[in-house]
Amino acid sequence: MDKSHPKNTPQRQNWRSMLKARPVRNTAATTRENDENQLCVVVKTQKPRYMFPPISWFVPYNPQREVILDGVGKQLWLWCDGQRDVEEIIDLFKDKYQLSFHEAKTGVTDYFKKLVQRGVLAVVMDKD
Amino acid sequence: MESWAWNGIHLDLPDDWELIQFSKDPRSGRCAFADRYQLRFELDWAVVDGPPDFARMVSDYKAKLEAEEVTDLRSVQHAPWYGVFGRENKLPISRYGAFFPARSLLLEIVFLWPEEQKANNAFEGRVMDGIRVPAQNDDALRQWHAFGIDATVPDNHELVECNVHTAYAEMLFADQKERTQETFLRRGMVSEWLDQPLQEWLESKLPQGYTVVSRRQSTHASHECWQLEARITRPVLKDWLWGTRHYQACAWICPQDKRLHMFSRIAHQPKNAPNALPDIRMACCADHQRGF
Repeated sequence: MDKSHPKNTPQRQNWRSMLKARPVRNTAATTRENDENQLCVVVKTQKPRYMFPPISWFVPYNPQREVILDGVGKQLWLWCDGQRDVEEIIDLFKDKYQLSFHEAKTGVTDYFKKLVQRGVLAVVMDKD
Repeated sequence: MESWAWNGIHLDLPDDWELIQFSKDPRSGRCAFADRYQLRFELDWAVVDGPPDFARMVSDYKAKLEAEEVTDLRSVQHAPWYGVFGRENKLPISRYGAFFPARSLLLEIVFLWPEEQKANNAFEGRVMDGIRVPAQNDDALRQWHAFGIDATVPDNHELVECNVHTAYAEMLFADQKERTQETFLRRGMVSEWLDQPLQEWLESKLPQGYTVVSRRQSTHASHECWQLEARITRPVLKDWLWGTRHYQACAWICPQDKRLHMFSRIAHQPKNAPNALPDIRMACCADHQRGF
């Protein structure tokens, strides 16, 4: 309120819609467990249009991508059953590891972002 | 209500409000708290020369808000706080300011009410009553309480770094000449990453160039603590001038919050006054506090 200390109206951030989104696994993904209690998620990749000779002679192309999830990642993956929303998953994660809500939120949403970027997870938002 | 202490400002806020934005600058800065859905409370501070003319400030501010099309504007007061209530895009918002002479601090707080809630004056009053800015005490120590870290450091030591991630919070303090540094660390999900005994982990945190001079283990209120002391291996000129650099660290896992707590200090220890260093302390729960 002091003129020497001007301040703008605080930004009204609202995470409600993000928390109500539902993460769903890529239905085309297959999973297998390894000996180290990790989960290997495999998704097929689309062959890029430029992948023809002579480029394909030099640039390797793998028709599938593997994403290895550690114990914590595996647990998050299992919670993504298409029914639970992000908020419910954060609550489960928070309770399991005795974290605060925002601590858990940061971890869960960052992890989901990575899984979405790697094509193994999609996030469904409600229309409203 | 949960207690918070930041930059010498103490406040009590609902348990589900968390600190999500902060400034380190002791002269002017901001902290923002959010519940799980949105920002709920903001605290701004600024060191000023003297108490401002609040009546004028409030009227000027009201005029400014009117120009910004804030509706339902009215002055509100809860001594020593003066404020303005209004609606921005129909959402209630209350702003208050107060001067705390003990440290010449002008505080401004903002309550951001969600769409479905009405502004609750009684609640705002309780929060304002709980805001305290203690004067420098006799032992010249200041408490910081945020992100689960409850640290007490010398009053003139500033927060120089604060790193917060999932299950990880670290606060680093130093005096202005950076001759003394204190680090406070709190880590969760211990079972997921701690793959060695705690004393070994503590030793792995020893800064380069230090030699361990003592190790100690003790148990207080079911908290098994490991303590380590070390000294700089090859003293350089500054060690001759201000005393040999000394490292102290202490770590434990709190059985209540299941987190690893660790605090450490690097300080020059003058030969003629080996116990001249001010106290630092860390608490993890009501039952346990350690210091050196």
